[in-house]
Amino acid sequence: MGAWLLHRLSGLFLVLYLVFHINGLRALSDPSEFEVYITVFRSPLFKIAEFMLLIVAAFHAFNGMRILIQDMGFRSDRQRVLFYGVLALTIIVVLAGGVPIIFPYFIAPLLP
Amino acid sequence: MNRQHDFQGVGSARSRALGWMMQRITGVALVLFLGLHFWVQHMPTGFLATAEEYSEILRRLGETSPEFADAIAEGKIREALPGEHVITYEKVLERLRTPLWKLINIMLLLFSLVHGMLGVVNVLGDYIRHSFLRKAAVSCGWTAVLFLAAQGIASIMAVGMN
Ligand code: HEM
Repeated sequence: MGAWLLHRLSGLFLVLYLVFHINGLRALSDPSEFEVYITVFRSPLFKIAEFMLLIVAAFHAFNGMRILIQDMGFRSDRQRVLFYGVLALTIIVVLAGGVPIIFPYFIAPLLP
Repeated sequence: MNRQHDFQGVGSARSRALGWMMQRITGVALVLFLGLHFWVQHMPTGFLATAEEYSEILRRLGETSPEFADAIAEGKIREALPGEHVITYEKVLERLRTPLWKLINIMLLLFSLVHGMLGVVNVLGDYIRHSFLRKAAVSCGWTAVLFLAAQGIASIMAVGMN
């Protein structure tokens, strides 16, 4: 139930983001406008948003794969284990992919 | 109205089964395409400019066009932080000049639009009980998908055309 709701909410969020994203791509028709557009997305606030987008997308992707595996007939009493697997993979990918994203903004300044 | 026929307005049993299958096929395709997209556009690889490269790009652009020089002076275009990797037009152009990358990005666009819309159709089917409203919402959705697909393809094809 919880997994189902999270999958639905993450999917709808990604659809909303996709609409904005495709709209933003219009900036590609003008090189200087594109540089301005990208600069907006390079502020600390947007870097946090990028990190959160990764959390949502990674969860939806791994949970989607879990649904596919279960549809293919994986035994249903292993559901809980599979869901923990989804969470573990999500955390691994978010750390591996998310840390490089926020590193120059939030981690490097803390280093001596 | 049509309380018993809950699925009316989301299509026949056959089209729902097709949608279900397509959602799974596009989902698998997205693992590949979205994974690649994330690697190329969000990870510190050669597909992005390093801070040094970006500084050099901005210096060159500022010299060639007053429009760029102004935007840089006003802070609308900012230098990279140390260690930051930046998405920049030049790098995008380098990649999208090849037809294969254009095709890859168009596939990503179409797969995500179709997958997302099939998901939305499913959600609408769960919450809109009135079959006419449901049909109307689904039609609006697919119209939006057509529009976004056209606009997205136009944006991708425009790279390197000016
Ligand atoms: C990255 C790979 C992805 C995979 C493996 C994946 C997988 C899936 C699967 C298997 C479903 C069906 C769930 C069900 O019928 O119970 C689904 C639903 C959905 N997905 Fe994805 N998806 C991915 C990416 C995306 C993206 C990028 C978007 C946004 C455009 C998206 C939006 C949705 C929506 C809105 C639903 C419907 C949710 C619902 O019916 O409750 N997905 N996804």
